[in-house]
Amino acid sequence: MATDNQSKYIADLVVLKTKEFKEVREILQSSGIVSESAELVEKAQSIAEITNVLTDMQASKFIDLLISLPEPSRGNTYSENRVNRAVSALDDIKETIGSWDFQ
Amino acid sequence: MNYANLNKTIMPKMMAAIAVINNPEIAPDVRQLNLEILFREVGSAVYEKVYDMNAFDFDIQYTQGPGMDDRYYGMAKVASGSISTGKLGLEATVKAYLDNVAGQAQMHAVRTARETKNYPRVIRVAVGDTCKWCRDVAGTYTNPPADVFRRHDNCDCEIRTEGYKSRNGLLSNYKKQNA
Repeated sequence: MATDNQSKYIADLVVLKTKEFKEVREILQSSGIVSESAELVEKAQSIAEITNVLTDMQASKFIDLLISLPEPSRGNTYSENRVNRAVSALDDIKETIGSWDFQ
Repeated sequence: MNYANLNKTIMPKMMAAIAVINNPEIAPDVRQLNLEILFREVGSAVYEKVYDMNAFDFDIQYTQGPGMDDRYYGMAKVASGSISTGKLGLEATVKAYLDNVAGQAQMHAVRTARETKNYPRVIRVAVGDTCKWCRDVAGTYTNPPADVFRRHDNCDCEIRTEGYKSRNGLLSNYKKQNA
């Protein structure tokens, strides 16, 4: 089974190298690293479920594969619309908290 | 009262706010920074309100708690990474974070009350099928250890704190006081 350190490193690498979880599944499935656990990988809903079925050798190969991938292009600035939505959501949450009373 | 129930009222809004911030087209460190702000702001608001309600109950309204701890940093890392690592269990982790913040506020209010010679009661109740750790800390306390206020993910134990006003049916005055 993948070691704890390998699992943590894989989790950090997938955040760096992918934009969504289904990409992680696709990368692993197309690599041929886990052909015998393909169904488990297909049904997995988290990276932890995937690393739980990897051997340490498979985890090592997956790490090498992830390292070789380029980082996807991503921005550093949110759109004004998204900022406004986030601020509005936070204000709404704080207002709800402010209205709490004894039940 | 079991203050963790109040967090249920903001959970859908929290998950919606996380989804707004967790735009996959934005770099992970930028998402993480903004989620730190979200978790810190909401956590602080929960802490202050729960402390305020407990302080009212215990008749120590003139006091303030020392504040919540800094676990919002770790929460932000988990939440920002979840769009690549999978969202399984994220909602439970967020709920546990908010419930732990409420628990910290309750714990600090109880400690402050004890310093002023008020002795609120703390009742931790296991609900249904419960893990050994929670069964071990269940009980009624007037001088509870810190573990009584702690929770793991998916913990549905009730942690009730009851002070002078709870025992004398005076909690309805809270709304009048804050109107």
